[in-house]
Amino acid sequence: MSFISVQSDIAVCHENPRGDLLHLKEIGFSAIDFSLHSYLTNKQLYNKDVTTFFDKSEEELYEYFRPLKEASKETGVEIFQMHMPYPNYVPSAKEELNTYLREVMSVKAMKICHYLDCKYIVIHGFKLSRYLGSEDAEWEKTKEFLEYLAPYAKEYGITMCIENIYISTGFHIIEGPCCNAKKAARRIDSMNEKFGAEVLGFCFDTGHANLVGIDFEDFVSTLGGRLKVLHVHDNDGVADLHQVPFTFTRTRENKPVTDWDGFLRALKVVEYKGAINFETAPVLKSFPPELRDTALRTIYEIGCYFEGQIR
Amino acid sequence: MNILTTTATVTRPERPSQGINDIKAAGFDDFIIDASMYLEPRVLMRWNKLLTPEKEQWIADDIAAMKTALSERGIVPRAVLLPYASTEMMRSDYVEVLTKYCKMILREFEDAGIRNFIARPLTVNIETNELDEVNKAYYMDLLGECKCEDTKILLVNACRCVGGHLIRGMFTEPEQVISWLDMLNEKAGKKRFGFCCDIGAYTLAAVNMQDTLKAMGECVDMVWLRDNDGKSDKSIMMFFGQQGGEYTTDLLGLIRGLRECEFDGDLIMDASTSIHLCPAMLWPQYMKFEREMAGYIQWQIELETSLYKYDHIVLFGAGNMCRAFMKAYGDRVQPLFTCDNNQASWGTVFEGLEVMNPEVLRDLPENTGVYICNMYYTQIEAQLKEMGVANIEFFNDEYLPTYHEQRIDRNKKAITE
Repeated sequence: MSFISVQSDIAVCHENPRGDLLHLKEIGFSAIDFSLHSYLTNKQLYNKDVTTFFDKSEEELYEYFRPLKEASKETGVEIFQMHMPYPNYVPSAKEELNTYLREVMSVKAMKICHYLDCKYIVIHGFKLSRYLGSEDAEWEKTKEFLEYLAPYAKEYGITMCIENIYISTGFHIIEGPCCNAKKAARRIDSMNEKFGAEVLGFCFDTGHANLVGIDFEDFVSTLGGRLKVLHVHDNDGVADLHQVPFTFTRTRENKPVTDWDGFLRALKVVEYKGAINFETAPVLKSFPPELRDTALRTIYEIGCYFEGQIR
Repeated sequence: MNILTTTATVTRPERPSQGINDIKAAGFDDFIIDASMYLEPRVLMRWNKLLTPEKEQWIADDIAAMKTALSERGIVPRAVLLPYASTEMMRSDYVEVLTKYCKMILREFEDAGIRNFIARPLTVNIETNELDEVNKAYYMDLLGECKCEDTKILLVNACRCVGGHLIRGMFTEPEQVISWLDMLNEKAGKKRFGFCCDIGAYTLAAVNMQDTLKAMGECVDMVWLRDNDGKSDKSIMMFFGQQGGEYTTDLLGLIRGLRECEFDGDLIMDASTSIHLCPAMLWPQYMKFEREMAGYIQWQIELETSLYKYDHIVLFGAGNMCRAFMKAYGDRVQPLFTCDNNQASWGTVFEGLEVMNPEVLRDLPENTGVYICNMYYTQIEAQLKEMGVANIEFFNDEYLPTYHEQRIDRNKKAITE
């Protein structure tokens, strides 16, 4: 049975989760990646503009997402993973904002994850290496944040997943937090040992990895069983475009600019069991609404191809 | 630290003399020979058609011409960059040809006294599971060609091509570099292998340069400094590679990394792509500019270590740059005081330092460094020289080890947070 997932942003609207999940199921998807981050966007945070969404009480939030929970149960489309709002820390902001992000937003995000019976929540590391002077110092801050949430993760049986992300030096993109697989593996093992539970895992993002020239096969192989969820998408190696795999090429031989073969080889070797999840909401904006279903079907078919290669 | 350039910038293979003269006239300490000018990647790509007996003779003649030019001037260049395969190479039968020429070039230039040979790994069109074996054999083969015990082969980080997209290749990860150097040097029985960091390749691979350089520490013998557009393997003059009006190279990571690994080796400036776009008559001027650029980069790298060469330090300036100095270095190097031409500030305390009248600089303890913390360097330097002040240094806050958020905004005349 296929286990293919797609990002919920745009594909599933709050007003009609049952209808939209049914529609995704008809196309073939059996899970979604719930875009909780769309309720407090990075643009808002970098403008230090916090919406009141996470000011709602826990009960209000559960009531707000009840239709989605029920729709997931009814349709059998699992909420396999979700994405915490990001960034989780804004260096130039007042401490009140960062305290809010840690003590209010992230805690409620964990509770929403638990309410929706979701086992994996993707959390971005803090982008502080240039500010603090080293990647190790940056990780210490991220670690503090994760350890603050780890008791919730342990209690709810949730695995927080750090993700390889990038930073921009002007317009040029370079590796950001969690782009070193060996360090990530050590840090994951260390935190899980400390808490006596699998509170931390990894989300491999193919698009981000492609932008910073990471060797997919080497990275995924190094992670092994610590790899829990995926963000699969494609780009031209220059901008974070979140498009469909196999879209981009630079040569007359028309070979893809992304090493999908290496990625699939590694997923097979590490016996990846999670969902093949596509973080491709922008594709649904690129295509006209009339072709949205066609785009989703194409994404699904690519997922089937990937599954055929790895399982 | 030695400041080098490469013959790829201004030297014609068939008549190298003028290029060598221009390199020397520009003020470079030394240079490396880019031997890919003898066996160009485009020739190697079609070696069975283009490596005719005539071409082979030209190669031999060009190498002889270089050796003669060097001998006439009593020059022994610092290193040779051996020929390599382009990432656009479509065939895999180039290895034997490339190895043959690399060995020949190594023999010839070792004979001319050169003791360092930079060799890119063989990665193009070689299966991933064969890379280790192929390269072990290649590097040991090159070493076997050396006649002198102190000749070194330098590994260098490379990119891999995926559908025209350059990503991280062999020797990009520090752990792999360290492990290979240990392995090869053990096989050699002596430290015969070292490492050259190709900053251009790191930029294409989008690595965290600070972490990478710091992790490699003492392994770094040479740094090959070149800029690019983030997409293609070019050698653009430093600070001229740009995307959207911003630098492509992670200069902050580069400077921090070279400071942290206390780099004191050979800095190779390579702006060959930029220089070749200019009229040949202007090449000597560009070379001089490139040398100035290298001096600036060296100064930035050595900025921190220079702080420790003095028994005492005083600052000149009571503004943002002074604040930056104190936030970055105040806990390691405690200046005696600062001074400022603004009389209203005398007697106040700024960032824990008393602000004094610059006149006090006429009477400083011995071996005191005076750091100008103000962007109007030349004016203030002239002022201090007129006062007879010695040990004048420029401080700069473009590449600090850490950042802070408190800057003075002259429009608000207060600290903005």
